[in-house]
Amino acid sequence: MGGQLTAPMELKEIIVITDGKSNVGGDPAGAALLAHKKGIIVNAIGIMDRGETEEPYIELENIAKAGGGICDIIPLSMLGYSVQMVTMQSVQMTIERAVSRQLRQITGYSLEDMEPDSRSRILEYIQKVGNEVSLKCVVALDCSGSMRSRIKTALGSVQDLLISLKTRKGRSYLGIVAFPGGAGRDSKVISGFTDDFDQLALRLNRIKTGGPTPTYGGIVQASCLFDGETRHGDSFLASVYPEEGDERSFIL
Amino acid sequence: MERILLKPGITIRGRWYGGEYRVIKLIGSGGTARVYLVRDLSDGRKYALKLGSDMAGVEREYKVLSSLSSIDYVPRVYVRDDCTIEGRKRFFFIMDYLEGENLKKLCSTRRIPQGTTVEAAAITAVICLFLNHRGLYYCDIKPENLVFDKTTGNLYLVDFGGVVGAGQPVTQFTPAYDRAGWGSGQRVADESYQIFAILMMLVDLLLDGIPEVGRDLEALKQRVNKTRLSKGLKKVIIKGLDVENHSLKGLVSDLRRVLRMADGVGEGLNQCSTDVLINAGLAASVAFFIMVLVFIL
Repeated sequence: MGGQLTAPMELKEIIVITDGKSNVGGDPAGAALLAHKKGIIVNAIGIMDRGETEEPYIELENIAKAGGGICDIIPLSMLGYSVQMVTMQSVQMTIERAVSRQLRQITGYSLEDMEPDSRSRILEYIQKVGNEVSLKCVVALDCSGSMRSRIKTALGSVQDLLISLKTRKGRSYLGIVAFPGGAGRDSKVISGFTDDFDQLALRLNRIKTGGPTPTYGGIVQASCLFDGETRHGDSFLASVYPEEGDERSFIL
Repeated sequence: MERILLKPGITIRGRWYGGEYRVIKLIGSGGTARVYLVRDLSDGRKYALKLGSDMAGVEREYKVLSSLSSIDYVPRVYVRDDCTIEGRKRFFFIMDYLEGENLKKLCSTRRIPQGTTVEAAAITAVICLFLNHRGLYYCDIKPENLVFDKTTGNLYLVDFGGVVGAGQPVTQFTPAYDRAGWGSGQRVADESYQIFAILMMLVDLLLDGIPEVGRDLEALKQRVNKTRLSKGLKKVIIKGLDVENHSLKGLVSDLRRVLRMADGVGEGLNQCSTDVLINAGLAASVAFFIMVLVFIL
């Protein structure tokens, strides 16, 4: 940010919320890596039932790893807490990392290498910055068939996030992407970036569930939002899906 | 959720201050941290160790606890340090182990007189008031976070991870006790946020769960009004959930008044003697807190 002291710093985040493993489209971790290269942090939240296999869990960890973010695996009952916690904590973590990098350049030590007593003050400062920095965040929400019974809680958790974002000192903008996107598309923008959270809450009602889990498409779409673009959503196996008007179709 | 789960027998070594702690058992799990009962290998005593991945969060809680170290109803904190477990960096601090049970467990495992529950709510309000005066707003009010220590008979507040400054965003809360979730104000720390949470906790405990009203506050008030709780208590609850600028101090005196009335909480007070342990502890705590209250106000 050389010289641009007046330009406010802005953090970019994607929060992927899913209940399973991606089963159509590219590798989600690849999409997360591309997003991260553009300066976006990609976090992953997995809703897991008891006794589930490790596989979706590993995929989400890889998404968060490639995207420089946090991975949280939780039961449905903790989703509301997790969504706001992951969002806020990944802001802190991002700033922590940036400060740590600067510290290492100046002193040769990162934050972790500092004695707890000395780093305490720096952590306080990071917290303050975290609350004041402006934030652009996209929630990429799994709306596949398996989410049907969970979508109400998931939407509730997004509304909960809105309530929390309102309390931040810095400006917050939220966008929503659903995957799949209906009509055989892998994703759809439910809302572009807005700070009109009442309007956004209304848009959430449009979300319907059904279809496979194209996590890759969801992340790519979310990442495009930061460029001010809306992808049409890649078509996948369009012929398998019912025509518009069919009662089984999942129009979003 | 914190990924690492330590098995009993594992030893944690502090990177900076060299402490060694052997895990005895897990005693609690929160959002980003877990609390273990451990034995300090240097003095052989038992402590509680809170371990988490969030460096800033662990540090903040440690700071808050150390600034309250002279206060009786807050667990005393000793040292914080870093460690590496399974190749991952973790942060922890050591505090007093409270040998007792939390209000949630007490209420679910045995019959706690209503009067005692009301008393506990009043004490919680007094503790909050006391902390507020120091600029520390404890907002994650829930029965799991209120612990009766068997040895001292005192009520303790635990889990200070969610403590924030006045007017700051509340990050840790119980959805059912969160006024913002009920569309009744912002999710920021102030007295009325705490009052709302304390009263919701009271409703939850007295009515064996918050009535299912779909986050409709008016409907909830009506439901409370129809219950068999005493008139005085119902009035305090409904008024408290309603009035924006009602103060914690006012809540404490309202609850105390309810308790003083002979038929205050219906079946409540007469049965208090059934639980001598808790009652004695509470009486001692109440006496102390009233003293504190008089002192700070």
